[in-house]
Amino acid sequence: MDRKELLPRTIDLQLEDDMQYHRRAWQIQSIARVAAAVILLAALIGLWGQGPLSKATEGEAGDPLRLEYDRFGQFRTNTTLKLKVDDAARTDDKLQVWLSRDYMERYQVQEISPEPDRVAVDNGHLVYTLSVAEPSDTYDIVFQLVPTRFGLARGDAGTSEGKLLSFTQLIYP
Amino acid sequence: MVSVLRAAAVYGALLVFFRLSGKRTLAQVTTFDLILTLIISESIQQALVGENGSFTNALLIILTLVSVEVGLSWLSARSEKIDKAVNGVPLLLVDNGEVLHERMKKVRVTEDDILSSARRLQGLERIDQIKYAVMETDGSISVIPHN
Repeated sequence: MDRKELLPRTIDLQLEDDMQYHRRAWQIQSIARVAAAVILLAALIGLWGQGPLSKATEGEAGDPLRLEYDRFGQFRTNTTLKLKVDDAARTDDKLQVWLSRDYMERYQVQEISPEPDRVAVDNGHLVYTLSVAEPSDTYDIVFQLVPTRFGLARGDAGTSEGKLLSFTQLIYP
Repeated sequence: MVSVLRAAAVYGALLVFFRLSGKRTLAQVTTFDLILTLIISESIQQALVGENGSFTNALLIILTLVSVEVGLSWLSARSEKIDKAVNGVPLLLVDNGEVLHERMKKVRVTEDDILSSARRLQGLERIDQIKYAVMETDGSISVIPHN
């Protein structure tokens, strides 16, 4: 390895051989390569959304309400919120869950599955009322949402018994 | 307002990415490089336009990009530091017939790349016919033969 080649040279050609600039540029490029590798690795594990690091759960098994969601999302890119409701929250053949209005205002609802019979606004919450055709131990309610704003989105979720969960999503631009 | 900011941000991000990746990325020397350029342009299209497909938005984006380009050119003409940061500096790769391998390694250029330019630009046959070879700021290689 001939390091003399990395020193400035005086040449006949009218060209400034600015090796100080080049060495600094190469150092910055080396740092940038490491940063790029870290960013890509972070993407693979879900730091920028859609990956193992992004998957989050609120609530424990046996709780009346549990939430599965993506901790990290991207602006105008679909994200899924899954509410798992215990049968204890059912009243006759109706199930009621709510999400905080402040949170839902940051998203466009693409689909709710199963489709609620009614959506009402009550005390700063959006209350979804669903029919239960066949009783079960737990019921999954899946919200397909598209963020319309980026930044930190804080939300609460609950059933007719009250607030049960809080969660936070970071939506990247 | 959002369109202008988004366009400026995309321009800035592309400038940083390509400057950090090294000059050869700009040179488009292979078919794969051309494909890469096309894929990159498709990837940023949605980020630039978003859901706004209006003629007005398109004009704003074009105007922003051209203005940023002109602005950077104006600044580069007035400041050597900014000029070097934005455009880079040519790098000597062959000095009076001596091939500078260490420099070539740093910028990911091979002797074959230099010979390819030598054949294309000067009709040269061998590396010993080259007096100077310079990697220009756009990633292309200029060759000056021995007389």
